[in-house]
Amino acid sequence: MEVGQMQRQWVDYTKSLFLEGFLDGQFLQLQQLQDESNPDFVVEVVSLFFEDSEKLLNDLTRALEQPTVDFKRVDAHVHQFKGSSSSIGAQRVKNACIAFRNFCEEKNTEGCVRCVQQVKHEYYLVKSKLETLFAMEQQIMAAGGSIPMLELNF
Amino acid sequence: MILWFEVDDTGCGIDPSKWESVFESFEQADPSTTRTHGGTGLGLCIVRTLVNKMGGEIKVVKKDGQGTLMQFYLVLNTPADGTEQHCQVDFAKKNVVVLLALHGSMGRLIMSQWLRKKGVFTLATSEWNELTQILRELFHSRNSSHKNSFEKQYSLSESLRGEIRNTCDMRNPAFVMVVDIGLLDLSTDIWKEQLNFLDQYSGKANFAWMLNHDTSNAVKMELRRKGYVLMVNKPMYKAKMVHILETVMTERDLDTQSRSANCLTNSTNEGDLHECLEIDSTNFYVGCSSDDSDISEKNDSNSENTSHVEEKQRDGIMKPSSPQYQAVNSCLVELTRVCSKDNNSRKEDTEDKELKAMSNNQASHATKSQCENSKVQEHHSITSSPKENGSSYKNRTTNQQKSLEGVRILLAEDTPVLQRVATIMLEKMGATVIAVADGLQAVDALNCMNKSEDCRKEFHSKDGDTNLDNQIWGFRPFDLILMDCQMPKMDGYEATKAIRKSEEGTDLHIPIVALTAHAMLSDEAKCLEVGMDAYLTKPIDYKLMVSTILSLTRTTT
Repeated sequence: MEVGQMQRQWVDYTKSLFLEGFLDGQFLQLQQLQDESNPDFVVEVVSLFFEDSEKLLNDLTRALEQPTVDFKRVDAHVHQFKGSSSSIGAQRVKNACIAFRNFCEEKNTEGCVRCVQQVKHEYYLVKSKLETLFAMEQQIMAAGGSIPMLELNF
Repeated sequence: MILWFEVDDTGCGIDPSKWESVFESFEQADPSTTRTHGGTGLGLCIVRTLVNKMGGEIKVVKKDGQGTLMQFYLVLNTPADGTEQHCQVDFAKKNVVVLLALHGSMGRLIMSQWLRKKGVFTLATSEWNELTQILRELFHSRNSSHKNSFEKQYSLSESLRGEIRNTCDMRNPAFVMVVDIGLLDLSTDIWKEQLNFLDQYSGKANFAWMLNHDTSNAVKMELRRKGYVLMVNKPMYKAKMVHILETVMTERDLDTQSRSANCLTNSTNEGDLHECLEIDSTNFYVGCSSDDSDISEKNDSNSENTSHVEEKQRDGIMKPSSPQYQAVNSCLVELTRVCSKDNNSRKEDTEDKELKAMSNNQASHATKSQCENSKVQEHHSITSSPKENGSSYKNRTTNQQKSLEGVRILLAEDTPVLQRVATIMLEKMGATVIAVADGLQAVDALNCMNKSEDCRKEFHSKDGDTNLDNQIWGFRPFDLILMDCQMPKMDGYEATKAIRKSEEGTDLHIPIVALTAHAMLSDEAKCLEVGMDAYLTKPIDYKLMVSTILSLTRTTT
């Protein structure tokens, strides 16, 4: 496939991620912070997010498996997850976290357990989408092209 | 005035009986060729319509030999020479030597004549070899650490030598080398060697590279990697030349200014630090979440700043003040934007057009009708963010905004992703950032800084050596704190309370900006209560963050 085609694919894919709500404007802000002096900024930050998230999800699952659930602790984790997901623009994950916090407040264990599943589901979805996106970028770069700048007007 | 054009080809020709009708719509002279050559029969019709609208006429004329000859003329106005009138700098006074290393002899001639008329000392050449000789003569560079395969037994003409001798009379002139990319042998790898050769002069002169519309990315990247920031697309217009000269002059002036400015601040540093930290504590900013208009605004301001100079340039002081030049600047000097090969080859793909249209919004209000050449406009309105995998860049950041230059920020944020994003972003703006993960560390960090500052002052009162200031930043306290409200061990509110307590009795008041996920009025009140100066809600709108920081620290920088 030649570069122009790859770039168009990339554009279409990115647009779809926004339209389907996986990503929001915050992700755009990150892309705009990327330039020659920080050429891998987005990948770096997103990788950090992935690492961070795996840990958080583990902690969350374990916390909910305790005989007596410490909801404060659970809430603290979810709060963190909400913060980090919203800062990279992972909109659906963020929204799942918001719902989660409500159940924490109500101290509803069953609800929380369901939420963890939901959050995990959204997280893995967006993770795979972003990995696909980055793979496309690698391909474009390898073929000597450059990543187009995206400006989306909702 | 009337300009005549001729298009002469050696194709299959057009039968004289059809010379009139070919310009009709949907007419093709020979229907049989449609199958082989395609076409809709609209091309010439469109052309004639355009020509007529421009006050001219087009026709097919007789030619000797195979093929078709078409002629047309256009009636054009000569523009009022805007460039001359708006040329704000008198270059004759400015002590500059220009070397034009351009291929096109007509262009070179005209440009050098014009420059000389303006009082600018100009040398010209069209060949690589001559260029190397001139450079050598100009700078008497005796040492070439790499084996110089370009050193031939090539002697400069007497007239050139004479001219170069004249430059010796000039005191510390600015050298501007305008080099046509065509002087490099791009068909082989020799061009890289040629660039290496030029390395020895890159510190002594300002290079402006004249590129073609289809100059490859690889070449542009390499130029950028080598630290060249001035790149202009051919053809060379007066306006572009003026812009290049002004860029060089401005940078020079700033350089000397900043040198003397540094001296000033050195001597007044000691007593003034405390004064600088006094901020009006009643300022309160309500954070609002970012919306899309913010994003596009940011883009627009970025595009206005697409022209830049080397990293020595101080923040915000940019180009010639004339508004016409603002537009010309962004069109003509291509810097951080790199176009992909495909975009360059003008494929009329609808998707490409979409991309162009999208990025056109971004650059549009800077690249409108002010551009002299619509071709240039089209080229520069295509933006793409360049990314390079694994290439090491020289540390010459070519960023347009270093608005937070010199600002020292303490960032207290426990979410790793946020910490990282904020740190990079602030550093990109020129700030120095120390990040901690909870309130306790923040309070400690601040105390530590203040203590060292006391030590430093003691040290200085003994020694009087004020130069250390600028180098050892660890001795200077923070200009501002970004404080996450929800942190483990000690949250933002507690930390702020502790800091304000420690400031009691002194006239210290370090600006503290809250970073909070909550956006309710009660949170606002809480922040104000504990002594914060402003707050930002997450997810952070970085543009707002920067402006908040600036307004709270302006008196310090």
